[in-house]
Amino acid sequence: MNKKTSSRKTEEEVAGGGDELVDLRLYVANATPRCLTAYENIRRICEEYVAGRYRITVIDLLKCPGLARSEEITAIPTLIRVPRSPGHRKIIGMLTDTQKVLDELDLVRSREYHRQGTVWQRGPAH
Amino acid sequence: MKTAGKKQPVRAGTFEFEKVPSGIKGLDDITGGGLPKGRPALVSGGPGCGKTLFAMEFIARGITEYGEPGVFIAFEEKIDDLKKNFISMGFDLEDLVRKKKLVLDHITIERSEIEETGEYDLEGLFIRLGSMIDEVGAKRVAIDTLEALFSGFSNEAILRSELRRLFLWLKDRGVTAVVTGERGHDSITKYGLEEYVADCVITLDHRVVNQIATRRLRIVKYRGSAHGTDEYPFLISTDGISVLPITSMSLTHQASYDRISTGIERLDTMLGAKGFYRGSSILVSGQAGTGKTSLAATFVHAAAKRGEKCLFFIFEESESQLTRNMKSIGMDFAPLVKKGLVKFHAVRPTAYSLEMHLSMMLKHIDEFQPEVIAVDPISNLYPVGDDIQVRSMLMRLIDYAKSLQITGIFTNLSSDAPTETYAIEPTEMHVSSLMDAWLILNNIEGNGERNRVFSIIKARGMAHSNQLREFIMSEKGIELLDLYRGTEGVLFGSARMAQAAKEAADRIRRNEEIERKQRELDSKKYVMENEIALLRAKFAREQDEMETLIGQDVYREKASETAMKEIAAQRKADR
Repeated sequence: MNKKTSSRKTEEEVAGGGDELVDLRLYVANATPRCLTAYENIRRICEEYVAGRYRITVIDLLKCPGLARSEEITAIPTLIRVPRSPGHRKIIGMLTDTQKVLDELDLVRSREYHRQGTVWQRGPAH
Repeated sequence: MKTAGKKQPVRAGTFEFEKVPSGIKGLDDITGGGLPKGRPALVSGGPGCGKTLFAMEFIARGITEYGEPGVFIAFEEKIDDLKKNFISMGFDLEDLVRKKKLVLDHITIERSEIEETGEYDLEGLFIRLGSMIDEVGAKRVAIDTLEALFSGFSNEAILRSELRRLFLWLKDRGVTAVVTGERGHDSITKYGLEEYVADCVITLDHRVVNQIATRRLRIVKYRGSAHGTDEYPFLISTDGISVLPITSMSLTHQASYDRISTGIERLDTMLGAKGFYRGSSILVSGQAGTGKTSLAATFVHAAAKRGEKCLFFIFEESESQLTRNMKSIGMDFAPLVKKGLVKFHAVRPTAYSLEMHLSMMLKHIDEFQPEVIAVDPISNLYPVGDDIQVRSMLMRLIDYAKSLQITGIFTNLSSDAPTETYAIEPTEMHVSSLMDAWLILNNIEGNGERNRVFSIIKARGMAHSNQLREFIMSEKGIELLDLYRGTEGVLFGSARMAQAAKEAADRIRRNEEIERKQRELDSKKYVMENEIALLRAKFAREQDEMETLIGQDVYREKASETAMKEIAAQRKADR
């Protein structure tokens, strides 16, 4: 079944890392300008690359401080993709470098598929 | 300025922080009470200097001894490792965590697991810390070692401003914090953390001098507080850090009027029949083989016999060697050791640095609580340090002992110079000023033999004999004997014995003479009395004869008279 779907989904993978949900958590502390910027940046990136297949949960650590320990959050803002896998690193800062964010969130595959595929274009390849 | 009651004087323009006892042995004495309350203190040092232990002891003792819950954040060591390491120090961290008195947190910041893009701050760390503080109501926080942040994050500008904020934040939270940092090459910490901590900075050091490792602690700054500025040696042992607050001591100890026997009767009489003052320090110096150890051991033995606890530090012999040797002069330490009255601590002087020796000694004193200590000999410490160091070490030891009213007897080996007068060495001169009493044992060569001579150079506050005594060791113990003075000077040893024998012979001869004369007199009297008796007998005989003759004469007279009368009557005379 997997094989089937994967072969069928090749086109969509090109469009952005498969049809799996890109589940992101953004840890902030209050709506500081820095945190707001980070949120806007990640939302823009997601809209651009994985539109309709992403979810951004903004977690205010001030409201649930215990999470800082359990999730090992030191810097703010921190962006994590869940479920966590060894390849995924924490991204900290205002997420100003789109390429870095794409690389880290594993959305980069889309690009590579673009390169390998026939269409060299941003966005869905329909 | 007068001080009211027990309160510390507060001068205008200065202020004194309220302090919290750190729980680290000795540190609170140097700092005059502990660490600044509700403020962060920085502890810096190289690897393996004891920073983590310092921080953990501060937290753990805070909980167990002062009832202040704490948070410990480890950037380097894992929680399980910490628990394991500290259980051997007697801290059951697991238990404290279970009792909700302690939060242990290991924060890993791996640069390889973090991608930085754009500005950030460390609010997460603050929140994390804050939630842990709230969890147990922590009054104390330790962060070990903060530098780890620098290896985790690359933006130093952000880090610096965040560190500044962290220290302010800790102050705002009102927690007493210990933050540890790695020592830098030219600075106190590698990343200059000391810039942010204005109140209290302590450095720990672990260095090797002459192949001997020493740990030292120094208070670099402590704002608004008087503190010792020296480097203080400290020990890490199974019960944590102990700093030696020795130079912070002053000459304020209470002097005792109580006198204790020296164990040598004749020495007691030389000291006004009472012995030494309790809590005094006694130096016994002498050349090799003059009996210093025996003298010190006699003192200790006597004290232990009285039921006083004695601690004997030996730098030359093993315990069994010393006890065996002392047995030969009539002292058996074994039962006293068994009873716990005497404890020997034998160690090679070169095993540790001076500071370590001192720390060990103080620690043993603390543990054993002796009334008498003996150190045999202090001269063996000279190879470990120079004169000034040895002197200051002894000063610390003596001060410490005095403050606890412990009597100390110290032996000192002086170089072998067999002269009639005792040559005082400069080093001894230094040490002697620390001592209340100074006894000297001298080897004197003459008549083909060496003899020991004992004298008291000084004994503060006591009338004492200025005479030399011959020092004799036998299976009965130590004896002090009078010296014989002859026409050729003072006599020792066999010369003294010869003199004594001669005098004894003279005495016998004189006695015989008297007896002889007495006998002569007696016999003369006998003769005289005999003669008197003879004369009496002769007289009695003569008297007898005379009386007989007189009787005959009287008879004859009477007879002739009667005859005349008869004749007259016949003649018919008218008259």
